[in-house]
Amino acid sequence: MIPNIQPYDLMTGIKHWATVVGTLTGVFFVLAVILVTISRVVPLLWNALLALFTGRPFPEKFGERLVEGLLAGPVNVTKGVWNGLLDFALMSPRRVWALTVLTIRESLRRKAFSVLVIFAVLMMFAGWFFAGGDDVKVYISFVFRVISWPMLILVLLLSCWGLPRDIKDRSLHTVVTKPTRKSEIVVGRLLGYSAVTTAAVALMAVVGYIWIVRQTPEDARSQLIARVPIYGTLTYLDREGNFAEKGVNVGDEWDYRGFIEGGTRSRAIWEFKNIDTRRLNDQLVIESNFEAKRMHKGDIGKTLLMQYTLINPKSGDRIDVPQTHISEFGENITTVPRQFTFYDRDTKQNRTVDLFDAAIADGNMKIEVRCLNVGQFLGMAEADLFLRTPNAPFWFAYVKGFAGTLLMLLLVILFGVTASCFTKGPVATIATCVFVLVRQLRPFQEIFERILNQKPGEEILGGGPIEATIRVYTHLNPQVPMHDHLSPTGSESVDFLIFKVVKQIDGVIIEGLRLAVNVLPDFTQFYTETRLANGFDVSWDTTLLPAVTLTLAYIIPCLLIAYYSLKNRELEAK
Amino acid sequence: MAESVIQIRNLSKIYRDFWGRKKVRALNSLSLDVEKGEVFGLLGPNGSGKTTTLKLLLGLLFPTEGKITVLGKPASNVEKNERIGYLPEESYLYKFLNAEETLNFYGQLFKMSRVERKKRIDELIELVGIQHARKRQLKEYSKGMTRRIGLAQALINNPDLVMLDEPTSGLDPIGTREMKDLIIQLKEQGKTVVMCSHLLADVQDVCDRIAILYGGELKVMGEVDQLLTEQDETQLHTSRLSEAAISEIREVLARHNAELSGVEQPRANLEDLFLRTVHESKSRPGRRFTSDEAAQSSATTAVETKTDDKPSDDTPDDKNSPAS
Ligand SMILES: Nc1ncnc2c1ncn2[C@@H]1O[C@H](COP(=O)(O)OP(=O)(O)OP(=O)(O)O)[C@@H](O)[C@H]1O
Ligand SMILES: [Mg+2]
Repeated sequence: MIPNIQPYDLMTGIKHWATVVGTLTGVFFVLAVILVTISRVVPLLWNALLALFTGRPFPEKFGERLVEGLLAGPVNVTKGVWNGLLDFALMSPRRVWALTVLTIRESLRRKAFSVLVIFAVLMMFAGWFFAGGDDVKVYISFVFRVISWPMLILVLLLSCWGLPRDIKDRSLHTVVTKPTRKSEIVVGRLLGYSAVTTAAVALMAVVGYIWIVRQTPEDARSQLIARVPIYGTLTYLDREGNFAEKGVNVGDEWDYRGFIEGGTRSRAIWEFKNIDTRRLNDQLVIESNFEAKRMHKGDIGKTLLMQYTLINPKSGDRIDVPQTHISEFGENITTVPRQFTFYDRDTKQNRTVDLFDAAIADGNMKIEVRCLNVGQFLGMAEADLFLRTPNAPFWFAYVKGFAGTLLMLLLVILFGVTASCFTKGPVATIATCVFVLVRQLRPFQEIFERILNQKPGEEILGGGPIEATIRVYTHLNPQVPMHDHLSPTGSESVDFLIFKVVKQIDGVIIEGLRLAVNVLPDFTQFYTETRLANGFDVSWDTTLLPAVTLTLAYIIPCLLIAYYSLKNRELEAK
Repeated sequence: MAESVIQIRNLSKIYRDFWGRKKVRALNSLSLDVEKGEVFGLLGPNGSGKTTTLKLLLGLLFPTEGKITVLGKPASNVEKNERIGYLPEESYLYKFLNAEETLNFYGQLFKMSRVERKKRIDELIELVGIQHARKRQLKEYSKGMTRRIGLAQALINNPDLVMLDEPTSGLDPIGTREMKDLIIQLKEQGKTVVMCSHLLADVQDVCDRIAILYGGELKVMGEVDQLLTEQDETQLHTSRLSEAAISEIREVLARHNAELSGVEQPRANLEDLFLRTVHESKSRPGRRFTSDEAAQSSATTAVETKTDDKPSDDTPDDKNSPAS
């Protein structure tokens, strides 16, 4: 998985959220109005029609009732929305608390914590299984999986089955005959399950931490670190020295890395912004991890040679760091002291500078990388070079990693409780699983990607769903324009009209699909542990913030859906 | 007339299945009012729509047609529930809670201070007589105990309107008697009670007005006293009479053109016997009654109770046909 390394832009996220939620709300509102109107007006009109043709009595006060029916849609739906908002606004903390405690009690009495037993057993076997290994990455990943998988199952069972069971046992009936609001029931459930989940995860995480530390051999403990990187953005210069967005493709099917060619003017340039020099500890530590691609054998005894040049973006001052042989299968760490002496190629003499003044201007700096072996290639992606600041405490990064896992579980609870407000346990479970998984499944990803990247109004080869269907049935090649060659009516202007209408409808369908895909959660945001397992800190702005935002984004829509489902459901009649 | 606590107008309820197809018409154009401070009984055979009516009043079901106003608010309004207590047909409580936790939970759903809640819980546990089981989970409760905690739950908020769905079902005779006393007590406190029951004797004892439903339709409604007074019969209670005295009375009656329709020795009803036995067992534990003794003790008391015997059981007292 490619990690997020650029800070998450909260404003963009909020705008996106507002667009999606706003559009959906609008769509639902209109649909509700239409449905209410139909249910009121159609029977009335039907009776009137019957009266006209069969001589049955004409509906009394027809005009009055028609007006009333037409008004009922907008009026009732607006009233419903208002009442819903009011129901949330008037929630009583006391009742929510009571319902939360009840949910916690219920979970405990239904043996939710047996998940701890499963965890303990798995940990015991793992102890034997992994004994003696020194790959810390494996331990960390293992602990996260062994906690998150059983917890996922537990959370699904709790959240999807709790409310339906409450309804089936009719114990909820007694609760709703008290002054309990439906919103309080939903929120109480959510908080209760969240509390149980948080407690269980916290407990297991502590055990997991102790296990990781004890399992790691003494000499491998140094691998339990949380590096705190500062990332830049990467661009390239091609072999003629021209700006290039991408590096050379050396034939990898995975074009994650771009390559620069040795001995030419080809460069990789990282641009850093807003460097806080106070965090640097009076030195510049550059860590990189490049992929070497040898086009010829070269000097087989030595690894490839590269050089960093620090560039002050304001003054254009260039500071060459001594050449280094890269480690072809691991990190290169280069430490440059703040007071640094280097050979200045322009003045052809040694110069001593204060790096923080000479290379960094207003927190901005560039690092240029070149490969010094003629005809060899060096591959890099944006995340492959970064500045290092002092390490964060490992335990703290570990806690933040689990915050990601916890946020994922909380989101599943939110989905589960919402689903359980309108269906029974099994259906709710399946619905939740599908909703969580669809975007993660390979075969769908490509389709979703295409839908998301489709710009509004942009031509699609072969057209949208309806046009494509027409083309299939009329054996029309995707390349030929449809209106020229399709003649269902024989009249050109009518054909053109049909074509226009089809295009419009397709446009709407694609917009609908885009909206639908946007609604599906991207759970990769919660894989915080990969950062930790790779020895990095789990940073707030690149890793944790997107996860927090993702979970928060669903709270309001889910609460509303849950509330309206529960409210419009006749609890008694099943 | 007193103010209406419940107004039902033209209420119909059709149960539908998942696909919206009609299953049962449980209520048909029901209209009735319950006034403040009265005890109202809903009667009717099984499946006549009593429970459905109560559930509609509580907003657990949505009416197919018609209007409901409870305490001046529509049935879907939750705020009115602050003043309502409901004892369901079967107790729908959380089986994993114990009695105290249950009452505490329901108490928390109402505006009530913690101190007040604690006090109320103790009172109610005492009132419904489950002190010995206050720490036991409800899943271990017997049916009657469950009914009792259900009742306590319904009264936790000291409601103005109490709806009881078959309050005496599952209760032992003492419980039944206590329940009846309680209902009368509630009425004395000015509360309104709506109850359904099959035990007509109980209904007759406590209800001011009744409605009889049949097949979802209202058949009879009115004040119990009025509905039950037999206009063409008179009943006398006397001390024990000899055969001679009875034949003399017969002659007197004949002169007044009336007829003596039956002469019987009054019998205590089973309820009385049961209550007495339990009371005596309490005061003299370890003692057992044989049927002779029981009969004897019943005979002695029969004399005492003769005058205040209620005409509520199915063992009739003397009945005389009065002259018109
Ligand atoms: N959830 C339900 N779904 C479908 N039909 C129902 C449902 N609940 C009740 N009914 C039907 O509605 C009718 C009235 O039922 P209700 O429970 O109100 O009767 P009741 O008068 O309370 O009877 P009982 O004396 O047995 O308690 C019955 O025909 C019953 O089958
Ligand atoms: Mg019933």
